[in-house]
Amino acid sequence: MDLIIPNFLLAFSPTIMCLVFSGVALGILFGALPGLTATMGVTLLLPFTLSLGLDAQSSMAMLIGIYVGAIYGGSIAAILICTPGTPAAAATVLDGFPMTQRGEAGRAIALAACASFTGGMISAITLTLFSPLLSRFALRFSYPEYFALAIFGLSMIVTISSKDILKGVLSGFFGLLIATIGLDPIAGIPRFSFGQPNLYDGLGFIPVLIGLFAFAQVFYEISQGWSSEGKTKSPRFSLPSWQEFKSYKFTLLRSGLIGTFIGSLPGAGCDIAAFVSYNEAKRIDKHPERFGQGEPKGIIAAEAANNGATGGAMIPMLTLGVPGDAVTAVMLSALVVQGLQPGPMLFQEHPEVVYPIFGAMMLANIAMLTIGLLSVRVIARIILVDKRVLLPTICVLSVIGSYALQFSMFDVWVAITMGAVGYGMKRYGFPASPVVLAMILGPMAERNLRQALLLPDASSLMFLTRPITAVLLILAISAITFGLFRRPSLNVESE
Amino acid sequence: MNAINNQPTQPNATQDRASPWADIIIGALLLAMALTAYISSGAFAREELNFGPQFFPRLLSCFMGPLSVILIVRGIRIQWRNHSPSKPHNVGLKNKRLALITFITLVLYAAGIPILGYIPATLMFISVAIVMLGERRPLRIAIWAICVTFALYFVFQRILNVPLPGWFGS
Repeated sequence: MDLIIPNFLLAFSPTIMCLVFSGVALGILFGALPGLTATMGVTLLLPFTLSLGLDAQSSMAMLIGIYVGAIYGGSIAAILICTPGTPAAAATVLDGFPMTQRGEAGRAIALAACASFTGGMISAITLTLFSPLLSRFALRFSYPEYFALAIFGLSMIVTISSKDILKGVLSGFFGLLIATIGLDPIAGIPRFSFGQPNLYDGLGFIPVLIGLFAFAQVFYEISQGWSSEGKTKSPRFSLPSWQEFKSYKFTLLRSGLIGTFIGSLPGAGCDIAAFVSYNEAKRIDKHPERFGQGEPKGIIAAEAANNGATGGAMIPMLTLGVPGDAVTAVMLSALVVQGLQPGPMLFQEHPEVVYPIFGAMMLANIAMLTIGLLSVRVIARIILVDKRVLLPTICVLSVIGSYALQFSMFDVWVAITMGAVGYGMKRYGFPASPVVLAMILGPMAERNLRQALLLPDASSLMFLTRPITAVLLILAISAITFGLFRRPSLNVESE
Repeated sequence: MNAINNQPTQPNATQDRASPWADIIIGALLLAMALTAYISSGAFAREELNFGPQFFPRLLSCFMGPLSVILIVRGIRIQWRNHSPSKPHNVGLKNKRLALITFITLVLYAAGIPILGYIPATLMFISVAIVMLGERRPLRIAIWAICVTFALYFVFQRILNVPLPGWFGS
């Protein structure tokens, strides 16, 4: 406790508060603009935080702000123009847009903001209470357990993020293979560098992320065309009463908990949490026929769950080093870029980084509610920005973002190449999240597998006789089996 | 100059994903990648070391190769079952061509930055890209190109001290 409270309070320093608030504002903007996802927002801002020279906790605080803001921001476009700003807001469209058509846009957005805040706070409190316990348990891990953990993380994202499990698995292997480029983590021998000194350190995380998520999305948006139909002009704004909001307290609590739980499962993102919670609210309600017709409980269930999943997704990321979704995969790489090794040791070695994250998570939700309610009218105008000017701007920002980290044009070429690869993957149904996750977990899997096999008591049965390793590997196999037989309605890639 | 087709082409995207030919070609590429990784890992193999640098890439290749073959076989089976050659999708082709042209423009932009410098290259890229995507009002194009170029220059060069390539490579 001597370490926890002072470090937790670091998040409430003026600098970090400013970063969280600006992160939330940017996140809401990114989330509200259809086609720009939370992952893209966090990816583009990551090099920016490094260029600013921010330390790990400040950088993470800003990225958390973007994450929380973007997940809420997606609901604004979903409600106003029937287009989910992010996949997480796909369930919000179902009742949000019918409310707008009835002239209740303001009420719908205010309900979404309050529900997002409640869900987000539930998950932030859960994160604060349970993460240290889980990390203490994970301190028992040795090389075989870490290897099994890496396989577990990989199996979860591969199965849930892909509509086609074979393509998901192949994406994962592609990521694992490109992660072997550069110096061997144990012997220090260059691999697949082809005499190119730029490849000795491997492919940079950030250029690859920018390519797969920003450039690929730009090319995809252009290739799909866009419609100017469905724009709502001059939406009316009327806020809900406190009494009305209070009447939804059980839906809020249940959805927040569902979101936190689902978010904490590695690989299950905010979008899945929102749909599960929406279905649950509909199943329990006395009037399920009202769902899809502009039922406020539909918005509340979806929004409390998708923001609830943000804190949930941070739990495995911080305690085990396994990201909960695509955004936390990027945030994990932010920690790696800062020279930190995510996982249970992070709690012991860098409490000054971990505990402010909990505080920043709560602060981000307060900022999201404040900015979310105050900026609705402005955001409603901005989301009508013409993509003809927006997409070239994202291209320039992505080029500078990939250049800024090492002042290297080589990184720009990596980002552009990965953009082309990412576009092809997106077009032909290969998910990008497993590539990123494999790049993060690949070196961890390789290092721990090789070191486990070099242990004096190493044997091929070692992975089955050690209880934690066996459980993790069984869970990984179960996840793949679940992936084969899962419901199609949950197959939404969390990007 | 190509302008964006303002009609969404989602159904076509679904057809693309189901294209067995795409799976066959991508499967072949991944198989080639797995074989290349396996063979070229011999260049850095240290046989005297147990589980040396070549161990993990070869292990990955051993999984990736057969999985790529499964993708190819699955594609061939779907194509065979359809009994008709895949027809090229013409719907949305214009937008896909535009995405390709945008990619080429982006490559030229990246190549132009070290030669022309950040400001001229970015001004040209944004103007050309906006026109390509269908905007025709010169004043709007000019204002947006100038604002974005100089705003990003100010943020990165002046505030963040990122040394962007100067005018004509200076």
